[in-house]
Amino acid sequence: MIQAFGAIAGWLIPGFVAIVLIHGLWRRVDLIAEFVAGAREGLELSLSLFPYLLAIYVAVAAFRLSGALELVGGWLEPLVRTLGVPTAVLPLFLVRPLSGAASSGIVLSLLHQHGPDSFIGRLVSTVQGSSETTLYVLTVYLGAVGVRRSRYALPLCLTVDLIGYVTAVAVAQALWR
Amino acid sequence: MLNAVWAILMLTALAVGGAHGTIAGVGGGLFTQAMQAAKLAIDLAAVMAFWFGLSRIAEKSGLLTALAAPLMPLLHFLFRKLPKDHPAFAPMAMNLAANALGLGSAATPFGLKAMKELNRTLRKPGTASDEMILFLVLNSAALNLLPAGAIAMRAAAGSLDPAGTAFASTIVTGVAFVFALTLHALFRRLSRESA
Repeated sequence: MIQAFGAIAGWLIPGFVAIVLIHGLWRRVDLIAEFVAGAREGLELSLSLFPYLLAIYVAVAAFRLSGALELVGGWLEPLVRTLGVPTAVLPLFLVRPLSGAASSGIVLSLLHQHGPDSFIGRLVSTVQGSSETTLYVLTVYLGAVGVRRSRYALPLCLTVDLIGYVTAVAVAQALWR
Repeated sequence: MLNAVWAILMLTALAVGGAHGTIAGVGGGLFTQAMQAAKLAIDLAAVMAFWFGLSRIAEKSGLLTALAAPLMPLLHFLFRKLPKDHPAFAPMAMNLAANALGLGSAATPFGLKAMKELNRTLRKPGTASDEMILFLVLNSAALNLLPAGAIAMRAAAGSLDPAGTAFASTIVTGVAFVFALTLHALFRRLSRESA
């Protein structure tokens, strides 16, 4: 199973690159000129989004390093426990929408602590595989095109995240407990 | 809204840091993380430049439109307000497809390209349109068929069944996808100010 997944995943990108180039040649596209023009566009866009990336990175790190994250986790712990969710998983739910690197770190450490095939291990894997770094996506996507007023984007996306976490817990409990 | 979130994150961090005696760590962390962001930005810029270059070839050759075709009926239905030949459709389709296959690094450039195209036809510059928010929430729901990152982490941790949670993740993102559409319709109605 895993070999099959690995093989597919390994071929996806190289295969796509090959198809693009061959199709481009066939349609007589000026490959290098178009590639360079597109790359320049990508570079300009990534330059304009750097300040937003910086803002979000620094804020999330400060929040984590100050201990504020633990504090919020402490408040939410009783609620989470009454719902039958292992409290070890709580930091992941809090960090997942904010930082991809931090949530990957939490998942890896929980997989090592509890074992990847334990209930906690399977639950955090399910969450990791079914969620997105929402705040990052919103800040960077909107920031890159200069949209300042996000209207209902944030409450909507965070609500959908929360629904995802609740569903993940329910599915994990149904399948593995 | 994002403005408030940023202020709350920063000020809470500084206040808690001051009260808990962790302020020195926070102060040092600000600059370490700023450098970290710069490193990430350089990596991201390289990957973005590569994918933008490649996708421009695919755009000129007509391949992008062809690849996006299977997803088009769904996207045309979801984004009914956009004209069917809107240039945001192809990158949106590629973004959702790359996400579904767990190719995060390929998904972001297409997502940004889609935002750029959506931004071009914005009626109120600087204000997110309902279509932009729908696209963002579809990303947030992260419809996923092959959670490659999670599988890799499980394998690295020595799991006997690394792909064992892929099915569960797909169910969860499917549920989130349906809720994303429903709640978007609701929020859109509640927010009178239609952009």
